Formats: sequence, structure tokens, C-alpha cells
Amino acid sequence: MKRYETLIYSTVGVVALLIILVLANFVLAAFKQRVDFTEGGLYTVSQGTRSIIEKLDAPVKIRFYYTQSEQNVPLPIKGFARRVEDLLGAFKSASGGKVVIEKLDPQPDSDAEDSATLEGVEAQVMQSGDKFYLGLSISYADQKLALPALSMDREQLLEYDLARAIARATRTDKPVIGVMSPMPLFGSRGIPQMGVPPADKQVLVSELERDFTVRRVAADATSIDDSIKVLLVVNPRGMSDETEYALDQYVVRGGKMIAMLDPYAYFDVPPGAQQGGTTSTFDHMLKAWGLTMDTTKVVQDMKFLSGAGARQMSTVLSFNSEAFNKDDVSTSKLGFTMFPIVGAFTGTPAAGLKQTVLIRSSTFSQLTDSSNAVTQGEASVRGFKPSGTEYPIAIRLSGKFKSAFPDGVPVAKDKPAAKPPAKAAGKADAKAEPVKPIPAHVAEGKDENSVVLIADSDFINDGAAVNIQEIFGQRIVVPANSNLSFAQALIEQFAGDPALIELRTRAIAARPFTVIREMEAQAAQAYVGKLKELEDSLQKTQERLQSLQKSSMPGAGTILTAEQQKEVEAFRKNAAETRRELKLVRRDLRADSEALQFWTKVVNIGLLPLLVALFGIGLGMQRRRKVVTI
Amino acid sequence: MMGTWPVINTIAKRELSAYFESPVAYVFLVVFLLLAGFFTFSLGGFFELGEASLNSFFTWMPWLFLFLVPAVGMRLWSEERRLGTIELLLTMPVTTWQAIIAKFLASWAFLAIALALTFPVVITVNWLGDPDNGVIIAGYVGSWLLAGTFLSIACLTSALTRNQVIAFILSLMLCLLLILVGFAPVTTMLSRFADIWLVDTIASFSVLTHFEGFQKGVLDTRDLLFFFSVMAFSLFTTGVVLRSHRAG
Repeated sequence: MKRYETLIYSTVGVVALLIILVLANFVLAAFKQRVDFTEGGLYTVSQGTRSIIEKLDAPVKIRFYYTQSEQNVPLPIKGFARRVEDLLGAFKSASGGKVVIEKLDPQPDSDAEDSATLEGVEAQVMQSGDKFYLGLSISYADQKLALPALSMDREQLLEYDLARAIARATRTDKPVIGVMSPMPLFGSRGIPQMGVPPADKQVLVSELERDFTVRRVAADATSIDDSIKVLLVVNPRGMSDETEYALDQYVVRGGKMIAMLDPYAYFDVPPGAQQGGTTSTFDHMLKAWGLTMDTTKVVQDMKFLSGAGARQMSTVLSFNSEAFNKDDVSTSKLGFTMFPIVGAFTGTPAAGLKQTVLIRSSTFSQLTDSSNAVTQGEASVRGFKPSGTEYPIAIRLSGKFKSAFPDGVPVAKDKPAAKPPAKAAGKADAKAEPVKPIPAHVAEGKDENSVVLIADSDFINDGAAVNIQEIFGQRIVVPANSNLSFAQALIEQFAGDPALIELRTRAIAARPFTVIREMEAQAAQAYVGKLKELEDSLQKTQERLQSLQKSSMPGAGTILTAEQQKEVEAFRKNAAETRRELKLVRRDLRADSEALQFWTKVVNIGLLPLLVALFGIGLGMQRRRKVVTI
Repeated sequence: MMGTWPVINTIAKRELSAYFESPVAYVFLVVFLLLAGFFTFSLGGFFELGEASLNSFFTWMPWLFLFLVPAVGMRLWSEERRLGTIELLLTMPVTTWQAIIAKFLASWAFLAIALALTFPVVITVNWLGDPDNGVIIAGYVGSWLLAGTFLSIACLTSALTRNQVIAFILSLMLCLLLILVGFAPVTTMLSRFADIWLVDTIASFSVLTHFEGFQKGVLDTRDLLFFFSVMAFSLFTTGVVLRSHRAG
């Protein structure tokens, strides 16, 4: 009897424990704590967010709209929604009560749904046709904004999006950013008659409009208004002296300019042209500042090249942290960036100006003619000789700027007016700067100022910087790299909210195998010369062969002399040899890197098991010997 | 009666060194390391991913442990039951609980050694690039907890039967169940038949769900609580089973 009682008691005990543990797990989930071990603190609220939250004078109310009880929401989205809630919780605890979170479930036809619509939170539509809500609205005092549709693809930027929304909601003024470019960055309807396709508004412009007042500056402006805090000049092709004077004076008066010049603007297809590749530079200003950017040359870099094999492009540069300035806020924590076809700044800054290089090429680089800009594969690297120079691609000049036009306003020369493509794009005039009288000439800046110069305008283009996807009926923009982060960091550095800079660049971090990449770069560099030699020799041999055969067949049926036949044979043999050598060299190119991968695998898979086995056998033998001697 | 901890300590140490006297332990270590390496580099596409991280290594851990941990745990109690040495063990001034915990800790320590021996892959990935070492540490902690969880289940099944093979199969099935209820293809399929909240709840019983946080680099108390709960439950039930056998 006792036996049975004990047994029942114990079984009951087991079941009871099970129930207790299950309940404990569910209940204690509310008191969860997390420790974030990631190097970037990817899952905790960063210092930047904290500093934004600390500046709050009044509470910020965040309404989290999530259709929790919707049956058909895919499980990964549910997991994502959980993580969003986790992050909101982290914001709340970092704020000490200043951030208040309210959670709502917008069921169809409920008050919550009406509230969502009112506040700008949008439904996301699934394939089944059902819709769900996953968005936020942020209110502070009388300001209200929304993150209408949160997407998993942007999960890494969630903290940034949220912190930025809070910063925006609490900001009383929005600095003015001017954008000057002949390219249709603001979007355009296009001109079908002239074969100009319509263009979408560039993502960079849309992103800037969320934080700043963005004003369009005419590409032929003759003066820049001082209310513009930061001026972005993008590929100012065909710029007149008058306009360059306007920029010069803007800088001398203390305006902050970020200029993107380009020896080969891949994405700039002027009306009537078939393809891109325009150039832009500052004729006067660069010279006055002691610098040059050769508009006929682009940078080829064997370390930072993109693509592989036949699709390899050594002029499209994928920069990783080794190319960036580690000490500057705008570049210190950048992930990787992609700059398609860039120039380089050479020269020494003029007296009184200091140059800080933000992005530079590797020493395995050279300047090549811009006609070589879009060649792919081996053909593009024939004759490559590393310059040993780290070419500055993006720089900041600081100091007291002197006007590049010592004689004042340039007299309008009788040049054929370059058609301002801003007008051709259609929408320009409505938003362009109204013509103002030119202010008095200033010869030298009173205070220290800074200018950022970048030898590429393509990197901010949608084609290089983002991937745009349609998910659940929403247009989701996902950064493909840190390009936009970099541009925005520069702008914000000048416009003044440093906290957001740290946040943004944290989010995107690629960690490649740098050792392998370097190996391949070095190998390519070592073999490129040999390859060229062999290919040249092969070509010559083939030409000689052809000419021999031609010369010996002026008409049909002519027979070669014995000597000529011998020559032809010799040449054929030579050609075959050379081709074989070429194959070997191409194979050797990858040999080092492949050997590394092979031996890494061998060591990692086999070494320790082997050691353990040997140790075990050794121990076993030792023991046996002991037993025997006893 | 001696204090609890020194008793456990003594037994555990004895068990652990006993491991290394038998060739089985070495075979296990060699197989574990070979498979871990093979899964990471060949199947896991370590180089193909192009990323300096141990993602491909940790992704395979649950599946690797699924087969290997029951193999370690199966002999824990069924061997003793078969040889009849349990009675001997339990007549000593040792409580059932102390014995259970001691044996469990010894085996868990052995699994920790196995995990530690994978260190070359950490050195390799740090040499090849600049990985996030915090994530790697979290991954190892999670792997060790996962191993402990499976081990506790293996303890239970080995106490239920004299036959090691049956113990192995039983624990394999239970561990597999714990994996599958949170395995993406399975949850997607289940969600077609059952309510989402139900599938969700079931998935929260899965080791995969709770291992995910560690793989990302986050130590979450919910995940810790889950793993320790399973271990506590399994070990308690082991005790109940052993006591009932002893009584009978």
C-alpha cells in the first residue's frame, strides 16, 4: 500500500512540477532581462539614443499598433513584432519615465483601427488578402509623427528610425538643406519627346526631407541664400563661372558645402544622351584651394574592387573600414560602402587650409583613363601598375577660405548658354530659388569653415545605395550599404545633431574575410603583369600567323613553300604554348586563396580530432603497460 | 552525513575521470569534432557565406547534439541498472539526488570539454577577419546550455530502462520533438491546421526558439529560465523514477 502511495505521490509530484515550471516560464517572462553581448550592442539602446531621450522636457507617447490577434500573420513577423516590443521596452527603461508606451490591437472596425488610420499608421497587406498593422505613432506636445509600417528588412535600423522619429518630434526647427544638381534628384516627369524617362525622387532626398527642410537650388543660381545651412552640390556639370562664384562666396561667408564632383558620373544621363558618364569639377575653387581632380582619370583599385572573374570591375570600389578615417565621426564606424567610378584629389592644400582625408584608396591602385571606366574582367586591368599612393577620394578642408575669384564677380562671357537641365526636367521652376540680387563680394572668410569634397556623385544614387522592395503593398527601402549613412552623417555633422550620427552608422556592419581579400588582391596584382605579357605575345603570334597565311594565298590553290610551312608550324606551336601558359597563370591567380581555404578546412576539421585520438591511444597504451607490469 | 556539495564534487570528479579511462569518450570526442568541423566548413558553407562569423558553426549545434548527447547520456543510469550497481550506490551515504546531480554535472562537464575543443575554429575566424566575438561567446554559452538540456533528458530516459539502446532512442525522440516544434518548416505547416496562438505557444517549448537569442548574441533570462526548467524537470523526474525502482 505504502508503495502505491509513494508512487502516486511522486507521479503527482512530477506533473505538479511540470505545471509549476510552465507557469513560471510564462509569468516570469514579464520580468525579462537581457544582456547584449554583440560588439555593436545591436540589441540594446545606444548612447546616441540615450542622449536624445535625455534632452526630452516632456513625456513622449509612443503608440504601438500591432494586430496581435490576427490569425494569419506569418510567424517571422510575429517574432519581429516581439523584438519591436522589446526595443520599445528598452527605450522606456532608458528614459526613466519620459517615454510612455501604449499598445493597441487594431482589429477591423475597432476604435484602435480608427486611431491607427488617424495617426498615419498603415495596414500591410498579405498575400492572402488579409491585412495587419505593425507601426508606431509618436506624439510629443502637439507634434505627431508615424512610422507607418515597420519591416523586418529594416530591423537593424529600427533603433535609428525610432530615435530619429523622437528627435524629429521634439525638434522645434528644421535646418534648411539646399540641393543643387543638374540631375533630377527630386524626381521628374521626364520628357518623352526628347527620350528623357521619368525619374523617381531619390531616396537620399526623401530621407533628408524627414529631418530637414530641403530646398532645391537652381543649377544656374548666381547666389546662395544664407538661410541654407548646408548646401549639397551633386555633379554640377557644365557649371558656369557665375554659379561657381556663388558657391565660392557661400563658402567664404561661412556656409557649409558638401560637393560631389565626378570624372565619370555613371548615373547622370543628360537629355538626348544614350548613357551616363558626364564630368563635373570646380575649375576655380579647386585650384585656389591647392587641389586638382583630373576629370579624365578614374581610380582603379585592386584591393577594393567589386565583383569577381569576368564581371570584375576594378573601378567600382567597395570600401571597407580600412579605407575610412578611423577618427572622424562621419567615417569612424561606417560599415562598407560602394563608390562606382571615382576620381581622386591630388595636390597640397593652400596655405591656411588643412585637409582631412575621410576615404582613401589602397596602395594597390592607379589612375586610369576614364575610357576604361566601365570595362569588366581582365581586360580592364591590363597594364595595371600599383601606384603605391593612397588616393584621397573624400576629403574635408578646414580653415579660413579665401575667395577663388580675387577680381570679384566674373563678367558674363559670351558662351553658348549650357541648357540648364533643371528646367528641362520640368518641375524645377516651381521649387527653384527666386532670383536675388548678388550680395557684396567677400574676399576672405572671417572664421574657420569646412568644406567636404567627394570625387564621386554616383554613390548617393538609388542605383548604388539602396534596394527598393515591395512588401505587403508597402514600398520598403533597404540600404544596400553604408553609402547613404555616410552622406547623411556628413550632412548632420554640418547641420548639427551628432547623436544621430552614432546611431545610424552602427546599424550596418559587414564582416568579410579580410585576409582572403588581401591575398586575392596581392595575387591579382602580381599576376596581372604576367597576364598582359602573355596575352600580348599571343595576339602578336596570331597576327603573324594570319598575315603569313594571307600572304601565301593571293589566289586559290597556292601552295606554301616548305620554309613558309615551317614558319606557320612554329607560330602555331608558339600560340598553343602561350595559351597553355595563360591558363596556368590564371589558375595560379586563385591558387593561393584556394590553398588557404583548403588548409583551413583540413586543420579545422581534422587537427583536433587527430590530437584527441592520439592522446587517447597514448593514454590507453600507457595504462595497458601499467596493468601488464603489475 | 557529509555536506551535500563535497559529496557531489567527489562523485562527479570520479565519474569524469572514469570517462577518460574508456575509449568511448575519445571516440565520442573525435566524432563530435569531426562532424562539427565538417558541418561548419563543408555543409555550412563557411567560406561561401563570405562572412567572418561562426553562424554556420552554431546553426548545426542543435542537430549535432541531438545525436551525440543521448549517446553520452544513455549509459548514465541504464548501465548501473543493468549491472545492479544502483543499489550499491544508493546504500552509500549518498542521497539519490546527490548521485543524480553528480553524474549529470560530470557528463555536462565532459560536454563542456568537447565544446572547448572546438577552439581552433574560433582562432581561425578571428585570424581570417574581424568577427563579433560577443556573439561567439553567447553562442557557446547557449550551446552548452542546450547540451545540458538534452543531457538531462537523456538522464531521464536512461533511468527508465536497462537497455542503453532504448534509452538512446527514447531521448533522441524527445530531443527531436523539442527541436521540431520550433523548426521553421514545421511551424509553417502546423499553422495551416491550428490557430496561430497555439502554434506560437507550442513553439515556445522548443529549444530552437530559445537558442536563437544566444545565436544572435543576446542572453535573455527567458531563454535561461527555459533551459534550466527543462533540466530541473528532467532531473527531478529521474529522481522519482530511481526512487520508485529502489522502492520496488
